[in-house]
Amino acid sequence: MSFDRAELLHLLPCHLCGDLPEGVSEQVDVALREDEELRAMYDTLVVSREECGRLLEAAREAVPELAELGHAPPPEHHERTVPPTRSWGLALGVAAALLLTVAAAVQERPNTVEQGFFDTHAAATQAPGLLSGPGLPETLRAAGVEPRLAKAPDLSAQGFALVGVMPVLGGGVAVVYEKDGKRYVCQIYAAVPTSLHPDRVEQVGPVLLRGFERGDQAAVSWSSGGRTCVFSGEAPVGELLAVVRQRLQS
Amino acid sequence: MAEPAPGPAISLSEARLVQRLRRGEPAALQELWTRWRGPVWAVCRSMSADRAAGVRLLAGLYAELGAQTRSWREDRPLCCAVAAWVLTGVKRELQLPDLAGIHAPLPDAAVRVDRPTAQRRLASLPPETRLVYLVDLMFRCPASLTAELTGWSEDQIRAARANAAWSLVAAEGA
Repeated sequence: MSFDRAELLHLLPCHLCGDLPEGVSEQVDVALREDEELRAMYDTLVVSREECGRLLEAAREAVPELAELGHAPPPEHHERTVPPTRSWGLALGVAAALLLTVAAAVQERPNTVEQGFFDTHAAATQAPGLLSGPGLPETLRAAGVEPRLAKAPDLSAQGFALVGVMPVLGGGVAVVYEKDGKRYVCQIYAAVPTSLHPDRVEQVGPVLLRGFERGDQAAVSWSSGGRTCVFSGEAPVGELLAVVRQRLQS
Repeated sequence: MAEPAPGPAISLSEARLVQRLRRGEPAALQELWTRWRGPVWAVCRSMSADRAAGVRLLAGLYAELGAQTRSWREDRPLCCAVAAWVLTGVKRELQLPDLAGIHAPLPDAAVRVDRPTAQRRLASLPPETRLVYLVDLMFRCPASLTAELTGWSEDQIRAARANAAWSLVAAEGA
């Protein structure tokens, strides 16, 4: 299947949102690499979307309180109990227990998608039962990971040694690496919406990288081919951006 | 399209919150409101001429929140459920027309716009396409999921997205 120019122009807004089937998205990526004029038009969409994003951000200020809306505040917060761990199976049992622990510990923090990335980073780097060894893709699929997400990218050329993989909710994976005594995690999901509030952004070809910082940790997310990947670690966001940039350009 | 783009992942904490919302726990509603009132307000304020109108719009949405959340699904991303609530609520409150017959104007030329131009062009979009663009920008749900949760046409949601996006960058006179 190939697309004419009009079809490509129609697809570009959805491509920018990461909202195209994988095969279609890959074809659009190829077209953007080969057609400078098309790429220039795509860049205008990127810029206008970022500007509108900043306008929306500014509109978030001075959120009305409930009293201003004519409503009384809801009752006081009640103490919650951790629900029983479900029967996830041997491969997921340890990971699920750790996720519950981390989720309960961070309940009071704002529940943005990006905070979820850092929560998963914490769970993956602490998980004792990471999956590894030969036949890893098959093991991951047996553990419920979507086949197209059952990957452990090889980052050995950049000095990252594979430690193991943890399935995450939603059929994705968290791949744990080690370099210079520190652990890094590459999370791979089906396309996930991210917020508008990255601390850094960088364009690498047709791919937009979003960098987030939380204390001494950072994470970089990007979407391509119907997948969202997140690379996280205890490092400056610029350092992680450089790793991802190098990987995408290789 | 042959098959839809895959949906977003769902966090464990989100699924737990939705369980509690379905049970009608007031504390869960408070938690949801605390987490999402900022993005929802941003859309309401952007769809309104002034703050007072935005407050009225937000109040209309909030009045329906408790009833809406009783039917939210744990296997659907929370941000998409919130997005659908905003879309249907704003459409109802502002009496916007259904998405129908939207075509994206594909320009021959596009320009990089600065923030004042983006603001001006955003304000001049038809409100129903502006709403889709803003909610899409804030919550970033796949069109297929938005269609499922709102009952709207996925094709028209995508058309509204493309219509707004290209209208914002069309070269003058193009």
